Amino acid sequence: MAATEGLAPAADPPTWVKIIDQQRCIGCHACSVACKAENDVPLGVHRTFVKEVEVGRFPEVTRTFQVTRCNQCADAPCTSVCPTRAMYRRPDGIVDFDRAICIGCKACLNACPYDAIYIDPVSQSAEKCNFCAHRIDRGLEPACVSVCPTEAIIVGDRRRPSPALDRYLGEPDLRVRKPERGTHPNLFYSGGNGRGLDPLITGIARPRAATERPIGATVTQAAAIMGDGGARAAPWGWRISAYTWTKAVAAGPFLLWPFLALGMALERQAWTLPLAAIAATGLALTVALLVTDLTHPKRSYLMLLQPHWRSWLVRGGVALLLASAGVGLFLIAGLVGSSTFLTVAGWLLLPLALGLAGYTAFLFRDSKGCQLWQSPLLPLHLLVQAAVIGAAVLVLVESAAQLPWSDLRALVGILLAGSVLHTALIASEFVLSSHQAESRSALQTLRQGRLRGWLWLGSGGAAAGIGLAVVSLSIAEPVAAYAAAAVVIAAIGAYEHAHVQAGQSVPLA
Amino acid sequence: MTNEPAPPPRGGALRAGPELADWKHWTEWDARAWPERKERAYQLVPTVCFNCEAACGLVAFVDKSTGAIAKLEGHPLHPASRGRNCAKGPATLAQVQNPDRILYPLRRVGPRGSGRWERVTWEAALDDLAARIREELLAGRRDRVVYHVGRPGEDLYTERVLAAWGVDGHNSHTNVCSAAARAGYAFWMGMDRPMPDHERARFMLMLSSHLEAGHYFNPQAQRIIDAQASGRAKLCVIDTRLSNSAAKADYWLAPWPGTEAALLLAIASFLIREDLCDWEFVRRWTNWRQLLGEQAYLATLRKSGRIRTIPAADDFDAFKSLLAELYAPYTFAAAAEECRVEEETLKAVAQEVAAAGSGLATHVWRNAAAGNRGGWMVARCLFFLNVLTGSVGSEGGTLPNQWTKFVPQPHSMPAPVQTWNEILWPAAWPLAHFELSFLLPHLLRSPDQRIGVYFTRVYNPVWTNPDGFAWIDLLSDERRIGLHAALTPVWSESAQYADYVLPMGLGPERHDLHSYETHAAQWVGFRQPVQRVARADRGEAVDSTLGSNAGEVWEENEFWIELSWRIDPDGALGIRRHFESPYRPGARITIEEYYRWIFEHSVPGLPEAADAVDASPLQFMRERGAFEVTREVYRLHEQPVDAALVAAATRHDGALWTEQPPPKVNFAPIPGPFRDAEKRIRIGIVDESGSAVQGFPTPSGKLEFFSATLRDWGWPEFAIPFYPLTPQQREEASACVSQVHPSQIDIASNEYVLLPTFRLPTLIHSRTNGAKWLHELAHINPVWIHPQDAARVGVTSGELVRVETAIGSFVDRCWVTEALRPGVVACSHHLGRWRLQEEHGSDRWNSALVAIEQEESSWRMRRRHGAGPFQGDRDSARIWWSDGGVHQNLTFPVQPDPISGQHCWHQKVRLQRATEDEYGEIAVDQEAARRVYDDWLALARSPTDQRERRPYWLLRPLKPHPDAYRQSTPP
Repeated sequence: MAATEGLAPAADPPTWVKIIDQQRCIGCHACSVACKAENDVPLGVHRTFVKEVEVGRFPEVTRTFQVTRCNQCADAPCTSVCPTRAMYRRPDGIVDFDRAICIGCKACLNACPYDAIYIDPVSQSAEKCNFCAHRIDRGLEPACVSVCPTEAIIVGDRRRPSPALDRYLGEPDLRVRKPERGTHPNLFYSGGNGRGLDPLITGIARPRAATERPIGATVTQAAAIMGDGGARAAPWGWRISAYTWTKAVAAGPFLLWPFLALGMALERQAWTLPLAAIAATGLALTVALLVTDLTHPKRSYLMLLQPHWRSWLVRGGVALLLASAGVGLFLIAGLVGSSTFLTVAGWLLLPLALGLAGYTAFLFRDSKGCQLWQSPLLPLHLLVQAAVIGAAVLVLVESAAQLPWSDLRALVGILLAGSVLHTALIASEFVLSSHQAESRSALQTLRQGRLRGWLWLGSGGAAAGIGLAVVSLSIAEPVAAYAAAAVVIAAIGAYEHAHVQAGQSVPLA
Repeated sequence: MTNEPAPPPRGGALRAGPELADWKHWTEWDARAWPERKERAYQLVPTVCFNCEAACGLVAFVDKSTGAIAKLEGHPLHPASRGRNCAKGPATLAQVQNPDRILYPLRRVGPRGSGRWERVTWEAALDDLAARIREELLAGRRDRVVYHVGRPGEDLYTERVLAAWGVDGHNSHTNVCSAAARAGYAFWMGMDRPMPDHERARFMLMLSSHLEAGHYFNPQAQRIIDAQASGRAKLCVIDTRLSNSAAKADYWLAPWPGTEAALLLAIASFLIREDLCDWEFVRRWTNWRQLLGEQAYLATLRKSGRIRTIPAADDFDAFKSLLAELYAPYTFAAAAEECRVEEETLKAVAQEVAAAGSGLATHVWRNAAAGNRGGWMVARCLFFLNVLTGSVGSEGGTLPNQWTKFVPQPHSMPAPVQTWNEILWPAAWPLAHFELSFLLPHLLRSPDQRIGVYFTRVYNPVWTNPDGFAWIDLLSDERRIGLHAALTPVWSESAQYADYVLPMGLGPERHDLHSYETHAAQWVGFRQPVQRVARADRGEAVDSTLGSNAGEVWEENEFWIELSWRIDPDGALGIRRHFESPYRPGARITIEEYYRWIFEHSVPGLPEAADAVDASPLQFMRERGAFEVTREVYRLHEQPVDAALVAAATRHDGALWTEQPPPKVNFAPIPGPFRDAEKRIRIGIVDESGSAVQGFPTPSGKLEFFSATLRDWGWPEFAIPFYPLTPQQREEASACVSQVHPSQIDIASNEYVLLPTFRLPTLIHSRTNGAKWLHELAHINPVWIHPQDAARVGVTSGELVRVETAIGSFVDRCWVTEALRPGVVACSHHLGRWRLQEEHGSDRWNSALVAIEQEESSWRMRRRHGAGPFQGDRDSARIWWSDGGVHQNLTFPVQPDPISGQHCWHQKVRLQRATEDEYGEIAVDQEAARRVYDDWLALARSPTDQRERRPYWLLRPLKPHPDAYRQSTPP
């Protein structure tokens, strides 16, 4: 018998909200364990966890408890980025998920500003607290609510508030986490000193009285919560760092098409085929990196079969497909040897290359958990990087074709100008983003933390490239230009890795 | 693909769980298949959690397709837990599914402790045990069969078994736990346990951490937070360490360990000085008249300088003046200095106490009482505040636990045993509460002393008790321990040294009946083997719990019946008759019949309640799992004695006496009975107004401000609440001076106090074995150290420190924290599990594999590796932690309190930055351990002028016949 049978039908769907009463919470972890039992959550990950934070000096010291989990956002970033709608918001406000159609792209892990989503070690799909939707639909409270000894977790229908819910919702100091992210959580925090809500305050002060720091690659997002607030394990590893680079290699040269088509008297036949080959390789590598980064690569077809067009993963996929078609056309044109055909293909490729090189900025902007990536200059920076790589690739291609210095000079000029701009944009990150706490933490990791080496490789390489380009221009030396091109391509790869990883390094919960 | 948004539940009203009417058949959506709507059908069976003492209700969801337990949720009809649980409740599922649990009876092969086992049948184990016990009984050695139990989780069942066998063989764990608090309470009110009524309190004062642990964590935490959040009552926690409870408190006082009684007496002094006491209560309900009549005793008080003059009058005003003089030295300033707390906070707390009046709920159970020599005085001084404020037995006050506990009578009660077991009840501690269980290796030292059959159950002495190497030595010695049978669901350190390891059920796999003092009501809870109950409900013939649980996991209660029949197959020993069916004369009683009889005959109101819903009493309890017998049990001491009894009673010495006391209804342990010279039994007292009332079960019938028992049994200096403040007093009253009092700690010589007793909210000693989710939350026990001290020692968080005790040392990591006072370090006793074999021997989810080396009296333990993944199930391969903590208790000498017999846990230690030692390394010198035992033994006093081994009136588990109390060689 359905538990809700016999109840009067509601006129409107409910809107479920949850209150964590931090005055009542005693930090006992009943919720953490009841959730594991109810949802069969494997070791290594948690859908909900009680964080402890110590504040003060003896004897003026206290410990606060902070239940941390999915915030059931009304504007849930995890749902908008999901390419297959595996993360979705129900009409009753619950953000639910379907592990059977998750492709494992991990975009939702980075989209969540609360670090509430993890890849389940068993299903290999993105999972999180779903408000025990399967219980709600049976008319039952979530497992964490019914178990709580002190009734510190309260759920209710916002549209039909009860006196208990009214009291909480009317509190002037009722808090949500990170309201500035515009996610509009339906999880509210009442009472307490709020110290636990900010992971950047507590990141270093979190007690480790009972648990050791998680170690090794088995640690997933939610398990990292259990450590001492050290680095968050990045959902996107080296493959995603590398894909931004392979993509730039494929797209970059075509960004310079106007220069190629209009400004330079180039012997097109000599470099068309190598260029097409490089672009095709770049695209193939990009696809390979993306697909192998999925935890469910075999399900990648779902992106095409039931695409969620709002997702920049889907849009990016289209950009990849279109760019591949364009490169194919360009290759055919090169093989046919028709100059007109080539011109048309090249101009066609220009917007496709722009899309390919730039869309990642929007994917990253949807990663609400990575504040560093929210910079308004990011689209520009990605395009500049691609253009610099494009110029560098062309320099190298032309070197293979042994073109005269006069043909090379313009490209070296572009490379130089782009590199200077790229360096300025790197510097701008440290200036423009430093007022935001999470970005500051990420920048700290870049400057002094474990990503320091990659940053220095990236920025030092860019500087070296600039120097070599200047030398090459001033003494008209092609060898210096080739060196500048090689150094700059590598340096941008290194910087991208630093940037992609730093964005994900900030403790969020 | 079914990620279609679900139809919203109608109405938006949510329930915590299925309603009782739906328990026989309930369906839910499978969470792992979600959002696909895959239905799973369950039968819900109530049972009781066994993961701590609180015995909260659980409801097992038995999967109808597999018959297995799918999950355990709260039991909404349980009067104490009210549908809610702590982390340990739902974690029971992990223990049931633990791939590492013991499924079949095992018998050792090769020497004890060598780690080799063979599977045996229950038949073979029962026959062997029965033959050995029978042999001891036939030879009249009724002190050689010992049942050593940790938390029993039941009332009366096993004590009845031992009484039926006629052995004085009950050995409990109270002396490593609650002996001190019990003694402190018992000397006041006879009953040995407090029940703080948080539900109605106006101020809550705890020397405990009941918001995270202990008796009775979840039920009391619910009520404490309700009181606090509603603004009705503030909470004060007195604890040197910032416990989670202290973190939630409105007032936190962190005194130097061992000085707590001074702090409490300062509050008492304030109440007396400022005339804020409930004098009428004190006048009516304390034995002040008795004290004023003790001229000789008053003279000793004067001689010791505690009073200047002996009161000339014998009226209450004279007593008030005496009180004022006795406690005048305990000023706020003096206490603040002694305890090192802020005077202003102490004053504020004192004012709250005064304002709360009869609504003062206080609690101490282990904490300071269990940590310090003289810790029992902490309980005595705390309850003094209840007495002064008239908050004893009142609404919102502190109730004696026996008022809020109901133990029903079984179908047959054996006569009290006639034997006194001197190994469990040695003469040096006549006032102990209770058996000197942790001293067993020292008390069983000579080769002619021996225990023939030794059962351990919910007890892991090697790991739990101090001086564990002495236990390993004892349990390995086949001369001193003839046979050791470990009754346990899982491996434990001690089971490694057993002859039989007999697998017994977890919480949802066994029967038990129990009642605890969680709030101002009496209730009984019924633990059930839920798969058995579900099978029976499906119409299957079920006559034993064996077969319904996994493998051959059984339950003790059926085991005891089987064993008793085999000990006395023809009934000649008089044992068998206690295990015969009350319904089928001469036939072996079934466990169903045992409880059926109790529910039909011994629980007031239960048959009527069952009748009202057309159920038999047994069926009622099978379906509901708990029953509230009575509520609002306040001021029972004021209740008049039944008029008919009064009319028939003899009056003398301020009390009523009768030859025919009314039949007992509640079998909860109660002090006494008190008899007069003609062997008449006391049934009440005559109060100040001349009425016949119940009074308190003490020799005076009143609350005993002055304990003649303490005076007469060798401790006159402590017969009234006292704390030695001056160096001279400390010298004269050393039995009540903590071994870690500031005067005992030389900070300049790198000495510190170690608090080794605190619990974690997610674990319960070694009983949460196999609860993977709990181990994932907590698997290390670093040494908490204040930043100042860390700087002195030269360590930072995560670095190794060697902690040196009087008998050895352990090496652990540090955790630098502001959460405790400088000069004091702390380490939780909930971790540090170890095993000797890779495949078994302890909880593989969080234990270390170790090697033990022994060279004469020198013992050493080294870690070979920590916890890690093992082949078992999906999750055992995913163990991501590598540590299980350090076993500190091995390095503690036994420190028996000379009065209460409590092991005084706190340790004086030295700290060294460990540079060459390895993590987890432990070294102990057994000779040093014996010397420390001798030193503490020398403090004990056994009076030479007493004819009894122990005051008969005091509580004692398995209380023997009065004849057994007589000294074998009268002084």
